[in-house]
Amino acid sequence: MTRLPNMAGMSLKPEFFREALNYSGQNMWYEVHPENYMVDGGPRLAWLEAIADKYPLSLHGVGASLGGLDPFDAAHLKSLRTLIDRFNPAQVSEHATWSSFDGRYFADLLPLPRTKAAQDHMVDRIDEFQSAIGRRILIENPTNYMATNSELDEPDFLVEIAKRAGCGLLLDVNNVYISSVNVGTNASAYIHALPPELIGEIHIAGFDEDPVHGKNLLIDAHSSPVSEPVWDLLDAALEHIGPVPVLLERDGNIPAFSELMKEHSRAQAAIDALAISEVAE
Amino acid sequence: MKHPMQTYMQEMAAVMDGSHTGTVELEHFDAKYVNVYRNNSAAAHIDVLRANYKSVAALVGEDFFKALSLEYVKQHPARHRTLVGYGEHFAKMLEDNIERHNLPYLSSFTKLDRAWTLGHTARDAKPLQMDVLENIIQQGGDLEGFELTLMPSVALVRNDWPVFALWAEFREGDEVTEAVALNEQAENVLVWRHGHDVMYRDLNSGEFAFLNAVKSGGNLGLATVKALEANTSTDIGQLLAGMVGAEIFMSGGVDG
Repeated sequence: MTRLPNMAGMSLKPEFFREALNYSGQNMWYEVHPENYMVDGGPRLAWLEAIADKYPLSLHGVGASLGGLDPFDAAHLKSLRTLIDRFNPAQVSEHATWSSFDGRYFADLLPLPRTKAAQDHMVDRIDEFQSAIGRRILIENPTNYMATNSELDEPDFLVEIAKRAGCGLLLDVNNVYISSVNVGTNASAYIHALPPELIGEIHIAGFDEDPVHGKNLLIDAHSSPVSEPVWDLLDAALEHIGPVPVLLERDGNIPAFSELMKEHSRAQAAIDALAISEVAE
Repeated sequence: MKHPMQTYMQEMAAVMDGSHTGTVELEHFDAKYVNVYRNNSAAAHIDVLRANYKSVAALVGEDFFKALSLEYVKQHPARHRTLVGYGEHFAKMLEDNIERHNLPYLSSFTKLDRAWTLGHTARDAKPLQMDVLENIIQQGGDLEGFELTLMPSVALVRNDWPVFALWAEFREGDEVTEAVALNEQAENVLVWRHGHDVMYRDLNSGEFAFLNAVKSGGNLGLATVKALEANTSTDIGQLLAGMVGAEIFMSGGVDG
């Protein structure tokens, strides 16, 4: 196992498997949702194997329901372990959310109340999850659509969990920006409240405006290019954290690979700018 | 002992599955925009069903497909943490509700789409090569007793309506603009994976009887009898060579 490089990576989608595999640049790594590869066989796994042979790979889970009260799904854990054993990913991550209740899976990332009880629960669950898959994970900050009167700030809630559970954090700056619009979080203060040494990866993505509420309610759709405020937040985050892997996420309205490469190059330039400023100092 | 998050999660789960009625109040949260989560979840399920039932979606149009999908999600909420194969009861739901949609041929499209999805993600295996059979013949062995096994990706689809040609056009992304007349008549279709590609073709009665006998555990001798019973003009040698060449049968060893 190797660490993800401190470079820009990209969500891998079937729409551009071939271009992704044939990409000739050195500065690339790919991330997939492992749940999309929990299949018995066929071309998906064959493509992923070819990609993993050539590039560092990250598995970013969406189905564990880390914060849920249901026991972990044994079949899901087994499938994830199988993928980890087969593809030896450089990194495995999940979400600080829940997505199942009473055996039903909602296929969405639901928010946890930021209470001490939820914190204790998450610490135990992450410990159990990491033991089951044999890997230290990163947990991603959620997108917020609902204001809360929870007792803890989100950075404090997540940092305490990460320290006690021995996991790292995946900072999604698009989620931070969306939360700042939807529920009034101070995005800059949020980022600066996170200890740089805990952060193993940054995500950037595009959002949609809600069809009814417009720009007052942003949806984490990953269906459009990264917005300018999120690029600004990426710069701020990198300045605070230092060079870390940055992933360009895209899940809908998938454009041509060459279009995504323009955003990928911009993310890489943001990382490279850190090294330039260090030399200048 | 009840976990402190139990009440909140129970209330949120009721919102997500649509069983919550009246004003939503959630412990810890202002529920004003709670429907965003339910809408996101619905969109995720619809996207998966649209991908898994590509021809059905193309046939009935976006609005009707969304309505069908939401009905399906209500009747069959996801239980697995991957949605890759979600929708296994879609054909059955459509068959049970013909009087509501008045499209009796719809479940035939659905069965073909399902076979495509399962074939795409089926277990890999080594295909049987013709030289294995030739060696048996050369060594004077009993070919009639040879056990054939279908590859894991193979599906034999028997439809009540002859939709195969139209389904293939939708599957391949062709725009179908002319009205097509369908009269109720059974058809048999073979769906399988060859390399990375999902293949499909219609089967005549002899071919279907042959493969159906193999699927039921019959050896080559029994499959031959069944094929000839169904269609006396079946050329078994040609049929077998074609099927082996198309990688329909597994070799004795399995990989992947």
